[in-house]
Amino acid sequence: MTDKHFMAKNLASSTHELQNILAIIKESSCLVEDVLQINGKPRMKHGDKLYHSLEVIGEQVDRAKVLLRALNSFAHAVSDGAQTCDLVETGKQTAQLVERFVRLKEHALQVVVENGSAHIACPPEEVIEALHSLIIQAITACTPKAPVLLRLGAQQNGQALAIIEVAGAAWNPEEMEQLAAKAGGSVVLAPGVCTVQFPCAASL
Amino acid sequence: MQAGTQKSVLIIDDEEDFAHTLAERLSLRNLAVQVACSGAEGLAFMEQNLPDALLLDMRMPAMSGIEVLRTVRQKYGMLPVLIITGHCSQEDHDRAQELGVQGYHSKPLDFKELFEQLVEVLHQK
Repeated sequence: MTDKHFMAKNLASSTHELQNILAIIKESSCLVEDVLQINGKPRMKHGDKLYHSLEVIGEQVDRAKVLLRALNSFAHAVSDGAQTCDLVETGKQTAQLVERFVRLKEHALQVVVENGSAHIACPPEEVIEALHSLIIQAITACTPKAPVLLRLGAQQNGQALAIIEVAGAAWNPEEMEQLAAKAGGSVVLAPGVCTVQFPCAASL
Repeated sequence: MQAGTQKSVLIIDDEEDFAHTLAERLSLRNLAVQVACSGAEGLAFMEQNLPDALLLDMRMPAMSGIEVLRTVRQKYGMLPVLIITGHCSQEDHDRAQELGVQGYHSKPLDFKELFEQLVEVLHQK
């Protein structure tokens, strides 16, 4: 077993367990809410704080669920040794994994799906690594607080496209080409727009 | 669910706290819910009391959800089954699909979605 597979197996198992834990927290807090509702919102001191707390628990569980699902799918893809992936699904997972980095730089990331699915002949973890690094690179030097757009799934000439758009992005062509090439892709750069092309699985 | 039409549901899940809490929530909605914490326990229970629907976890020790599902199909035909799981591999998903499950719900659950589908399959039965 390689280091990569060992880590992926453990990540898959741990995220699975965390999903179970979150599920228990969520159902337990919702059960409290059910009971309160059945009792017709009993008048109690600071009752509003109780309802607010239950709402916050639910929201935070849902927030963690998104991230855990992305991590879990990522880990399973690596441990299963997948050699192809759906660029749209993998791109969405990347967006969930990179979102915090983007937010810390005071940008907002939006995903636009151009096409329902686009199967490409690249291992998912390499696609995630490439897109993740390219997005980080894009926000390293760009217009402050500019929104980041990730367009996924459009296809042309046997290639599926992931397009990163950030106003004022100062691309480093050589580095970006290397990042994309690691996942079997290539880049086309224009002001504020980085188009990453991946070979479609069927076209090989 | 309306009073007087109480339907029965069996939850098979090795996560005991989860299964029991979910059972409580469904019971509050007028369903008669039982919990089994393993596939073998669930199948043994079904020998005595066949439920109207089954909520089934996929990844359990000793006997997987797919093995339980296969036995259920052999013994009880098209009993409604909804999968509740943390992760379902594509292979498991495909096999469950072939075995005619009515739906998939990932944990943590969207309870409203699960309950609506459960009511729907119970009404169809």
